[in-house]
Amino acid sequence: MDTQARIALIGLCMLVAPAVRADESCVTCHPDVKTEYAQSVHASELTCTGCHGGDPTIVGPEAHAVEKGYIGKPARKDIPTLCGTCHADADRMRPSGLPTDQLAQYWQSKHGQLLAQGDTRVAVCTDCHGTHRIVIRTEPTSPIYPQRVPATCGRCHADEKLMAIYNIPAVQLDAFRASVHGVALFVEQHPDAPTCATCHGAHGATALNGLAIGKVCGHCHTRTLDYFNDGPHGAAATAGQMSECISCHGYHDTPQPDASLFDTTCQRCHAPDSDAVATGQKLKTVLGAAHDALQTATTEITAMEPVAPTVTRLQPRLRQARAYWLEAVPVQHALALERVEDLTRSARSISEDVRAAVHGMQEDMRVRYIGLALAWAFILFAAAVTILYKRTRRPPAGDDGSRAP
Amino acid sequence: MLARGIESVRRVWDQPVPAALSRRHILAGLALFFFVLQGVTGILLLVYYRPSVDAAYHSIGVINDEVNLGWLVRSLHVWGSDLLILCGLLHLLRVYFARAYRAPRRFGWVFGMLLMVVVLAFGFTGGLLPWDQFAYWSVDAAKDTIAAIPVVGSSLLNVFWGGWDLGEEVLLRFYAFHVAILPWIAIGCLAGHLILSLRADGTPAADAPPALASRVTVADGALDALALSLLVGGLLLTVAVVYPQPLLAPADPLSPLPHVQPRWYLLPARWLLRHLPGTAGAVVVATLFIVLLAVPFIDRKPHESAAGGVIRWSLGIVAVAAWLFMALMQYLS
Repeated sequence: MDTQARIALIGLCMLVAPAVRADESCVTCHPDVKTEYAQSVHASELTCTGCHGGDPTIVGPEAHAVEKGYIGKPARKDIPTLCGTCHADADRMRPSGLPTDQLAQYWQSKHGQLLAQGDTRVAVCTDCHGTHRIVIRTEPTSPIYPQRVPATCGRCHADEKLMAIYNIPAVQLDAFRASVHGVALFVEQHPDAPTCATCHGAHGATALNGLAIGKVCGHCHTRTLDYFNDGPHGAAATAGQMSECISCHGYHDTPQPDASLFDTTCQRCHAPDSDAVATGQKLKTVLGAAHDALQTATTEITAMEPVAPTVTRLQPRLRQARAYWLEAVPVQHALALERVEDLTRSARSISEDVRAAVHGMQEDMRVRYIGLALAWAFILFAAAVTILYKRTRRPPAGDDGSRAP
Repeated sequence: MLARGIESVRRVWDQPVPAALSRRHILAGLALFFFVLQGVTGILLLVYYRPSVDAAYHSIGVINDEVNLGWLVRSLHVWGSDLLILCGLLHLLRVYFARAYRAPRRFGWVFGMLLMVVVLAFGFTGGLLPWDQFAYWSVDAAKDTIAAIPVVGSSLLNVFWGGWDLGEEVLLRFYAFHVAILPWIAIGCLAGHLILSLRADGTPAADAPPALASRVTVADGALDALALSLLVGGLLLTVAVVYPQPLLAPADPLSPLPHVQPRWYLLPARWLLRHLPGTAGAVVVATLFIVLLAVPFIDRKPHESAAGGVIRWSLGIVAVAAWLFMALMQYLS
């Protein structure tokens, strides 16, 4: 090796050495953290000192010297700002495409407002995202993976003692699990099912006051909100006389809506003998009839499929009926009885047509089996005649299959 | 003149059947019966079927739901193809185990094997014609299989697909093969098979006593064939009525149908192609076919030794067991 090459090699070693030591000096005493941190999205970008400070070139307690910039475990009140050092920096975040407004949103959230007032019991970044092992939200083990978000929020919001301090009930998590949204998220594992953050926000999480709830529900239930605002209840909500969606559907524990809502919710505000309750009962009747007709047609088609596979050709008609019914569901929120009647009539009429076609096919199947029985009768008769004719035509065959002479 | 005609029919009626024919040919006779049935039902379907992407599915729907007994004709056609292939395979096994492929029937065997391939091609090309989801995705799945065949794979693909994606052009090609090209090839192969097999009149298979066949008259044979055809036709009718052919949703290139299985007779080939790496599966399938084709030229001795018999039976039984095993594994996968 010539002299120039040796110099170059020594120079390279000098460059690499601090990096190697940086890794080695922290993990010498914290090997478990190294394993955890290796799985973090930060592992390729940050070293330990990025958050904890200190001197990575020293092995031993001297590395923790305050004069070396060591901050140790960051105080909870400092965590948002510390994370924001990078996450609110557009230049740092641009390569990963992450937004840089989380910190600003956090300070506007209820969590951030209380933290700014010195309450360190509220959630900070690490409570939801983790500390050393921070993984992306699409990773199922992430605490912010959609199906884990309720449990992550519930770590605080299902804690009765902690919530009692803020006068917040701690039953939301259990209520949400049993709700139509919880079933969609946990049982059906629907990719678009809402989590806590869908309604309350994530970094800017805030409680919702009554008037805002309808707007938030409308982020997903767009047409329902439009029809609601077109109807008399929309005007009442605007006037502050009722709380949009939650007056009838509740919140957190929102059940699967069905016809029984007409029997239980209208009377909360309207007299039992009022026109409003009567309108509700009419809506219940027409919607229920269309729903029953659809269900019956669907059941009959399903039952028919194994014996008459071509019945699947009726499915597009049934989908058309279902489309009318699905249109009627949001329209009912406008309390537009005539329009709901039109839509449900179409749904019911098509369902009845489909049922009539299924019944026709059932009758056709019956005729087919009768035809098959008749065909077999003819076949057996013709075969018997053929065999008898053969026997009468010639003397019986010998044992070896040959004709007798 | 009529009397003379009746008299000549009566004379033939009382003649002994050719010595080469016997009850051992029941499977071949049934295969021929189903072959003719396929022709008849196919022509009936041809009247209503329209070979275009926009109209094919609708025309099958019309056949199913509007044409009198159209559903039955379609069901008979599809089930008949399965039974034709089943009878053909059983006939092939009978000839193999009876060692009836030896000279002078060697080329009859070769034509029979070619006919088998043509019948399978009928099944493959006919599968696309309904243009429903199963038709589309089962044929689409076969594209990679065909492409994997060494040497001729790309040429075959070019013949069937013509370089296009699955659509109007490919549907028309499959239709042309199914109704215009393959029938003539099949008739040619069938003629060759029958002529070369029956030409060996008086030289029946080694295990067939010639004296027996010659004592049966044409009348006896025709009456037996009629009774058997009635019963088998009845069974086919029953299957066609009880299990009519489905018609799924129209073909949708944007909605793949999960877990599409080929027809039962292609299950072993699919299993082999799935489990052997690269083109090895196609090489094995092609090699097995060539070996089967060459059986009469490998086993040429007039009299088989005891050891030879054991080897031949063992190979046959192992082949059948392997075929059933692969079909089952593919079906359960």
